[in-house]
Amino acid sequence: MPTRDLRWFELFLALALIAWPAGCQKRQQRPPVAGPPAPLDALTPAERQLAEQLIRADPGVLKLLGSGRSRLIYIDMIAVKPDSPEASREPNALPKTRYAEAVFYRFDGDIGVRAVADLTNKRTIESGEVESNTVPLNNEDLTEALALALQDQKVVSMLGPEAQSFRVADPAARAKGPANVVRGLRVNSLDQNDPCYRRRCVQLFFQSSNKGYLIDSAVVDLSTRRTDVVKGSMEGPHHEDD
Amino acid sequence: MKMTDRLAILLPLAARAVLGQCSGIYLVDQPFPVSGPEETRWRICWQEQARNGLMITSAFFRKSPASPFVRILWDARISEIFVPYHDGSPRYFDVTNFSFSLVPVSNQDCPASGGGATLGSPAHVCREVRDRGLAWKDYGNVRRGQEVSLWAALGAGNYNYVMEWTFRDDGVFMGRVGATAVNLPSKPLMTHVHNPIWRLDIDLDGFPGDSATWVSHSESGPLGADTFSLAAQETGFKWNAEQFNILQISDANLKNSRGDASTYMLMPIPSGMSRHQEAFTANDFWVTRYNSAELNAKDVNVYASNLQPIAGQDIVVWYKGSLHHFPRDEDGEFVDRYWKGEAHVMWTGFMMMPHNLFDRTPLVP
Repeated sequence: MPTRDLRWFELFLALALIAWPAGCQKRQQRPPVAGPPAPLDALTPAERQLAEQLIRADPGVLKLLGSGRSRLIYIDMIAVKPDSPEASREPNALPKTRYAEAVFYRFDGDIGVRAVADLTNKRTIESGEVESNTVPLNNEDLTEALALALQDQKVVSMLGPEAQSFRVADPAARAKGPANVVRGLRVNSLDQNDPCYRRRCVQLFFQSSNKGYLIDSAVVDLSTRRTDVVKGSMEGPHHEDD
Repeated sequence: MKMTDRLAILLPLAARAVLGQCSGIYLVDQPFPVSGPEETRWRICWQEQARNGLMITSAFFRKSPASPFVRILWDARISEIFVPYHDGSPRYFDVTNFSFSLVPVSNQDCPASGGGATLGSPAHVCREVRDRGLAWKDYGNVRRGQEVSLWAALGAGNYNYVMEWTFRDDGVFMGRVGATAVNLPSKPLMTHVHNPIWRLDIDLDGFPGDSATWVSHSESGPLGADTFSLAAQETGFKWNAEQFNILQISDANLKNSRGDASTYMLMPIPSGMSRHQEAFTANDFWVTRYNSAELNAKDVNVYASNLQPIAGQDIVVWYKGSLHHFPRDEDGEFVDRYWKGEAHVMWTGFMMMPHNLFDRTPLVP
């Protein structure tokens, strides 16, 4: 290619490459095109599956989880800071590796287990025990708590004929809908003599489709599988007037 | 110069321009103004995660098309929402006690007519690009400002917590949490306080080299003065309304073209500051040395007790906002043994304002 034509070609190529991002920006407003995720994108379903496989196969994790009952609480992407500060100043710097963190709860022993997987090199790089009070409950816990509560006669009496119609609220539901739903909050007792001081306890609130929330609730201890009914209060705080 | 040499220079530059740290719906690349020639620009990555809901996973800002992007944030998240009730119990940890999900959003939440667009399928996040009111006014001269906001709502049992992150055309960055939906059904008339605690991994112009300075205003007679106290080691601070306290974050090297150190100033947007019996609520601000394992706001007092040096380091700032919810008839009513009603949104948050990032007044005219 003659030299002059080569220069024009270089200029064209450079302009094309520089102009390409503007086109990309517009395209990025649409749903993502299938392809490898960018370093800070959320985990894809395939990556979540890979992370769980890697972590569950790790000998260290297996030992921590033991042979008893355990529950996967969540898997999420974590970003690791680059080794060089210069890389952290660059808006388009590409970390070389994707990582995922998984947290489990082990029922016997009341412990949490945390592990980190390197998805790029396909190996678990970190695992260890964490305090159980740092391990959140999740919807599986809620579902289990409701099942236990609906076996308890005190709860069934409290809810009346509609008792067995209650379902755990679907977090993906767009509207309340006609269903009777149950939502839950974790109970943390301050009383060291209270079972819920350390154990995983859930307070269940029953939302009737047309009446609102029942002020009476059920507290379920997931460790001992015991249920208690708590009477709601219609009282407000005591006013202290000058 | 040989063609191969030229391409060796051009291609990596172009490749870096094309490939980003995030893509698709996770990238918010927002020039301002939204129409016409660019004056400033934010490039933001976000994610939805199981514990912390809507998180910012990086944020860069450039003050002009000719300026480089400057990193502002490595990571910003709501680390905890602590909710104690006036009669002592319950005392909820609404971020770390339960792996709540973000609730769906639709055009009803995020109307296109208001500059909104839902992100994701199913959509949990709303992006709003909007007029933010007056940027400045000088008699007959005026400029209105613009901002881009990302928000989502965490479905926390009876409550929904709106998590909002806003990035303005003048380089200001804001975080807010709003509490809404239904009062605690078991005691809907009991006063309580919602305390969102943000963990802000501020990496000005990258890491390390960042420092935190506590700024205090004082008066003596007719005279006012401002004091700047560099935080040498991990510590906490209590905000004093009379002192107009600000936490200023600086970088060892970042300056504008006038040679003035460029910083960001973290300011509360408070209605009050809580002090509960729990030690992590004793301060409104904490500054700690970056540690990837230190993510839990309820342990921040323990993290800070290590007293690691933080001047000129990779630092993390924690800020506690507080909402004192005094129940009212507007929240709802009892119907037999049911509580029915919706608590309208109450907000708390903070603002991070650039200081000497620009060389002169931005957004003029």
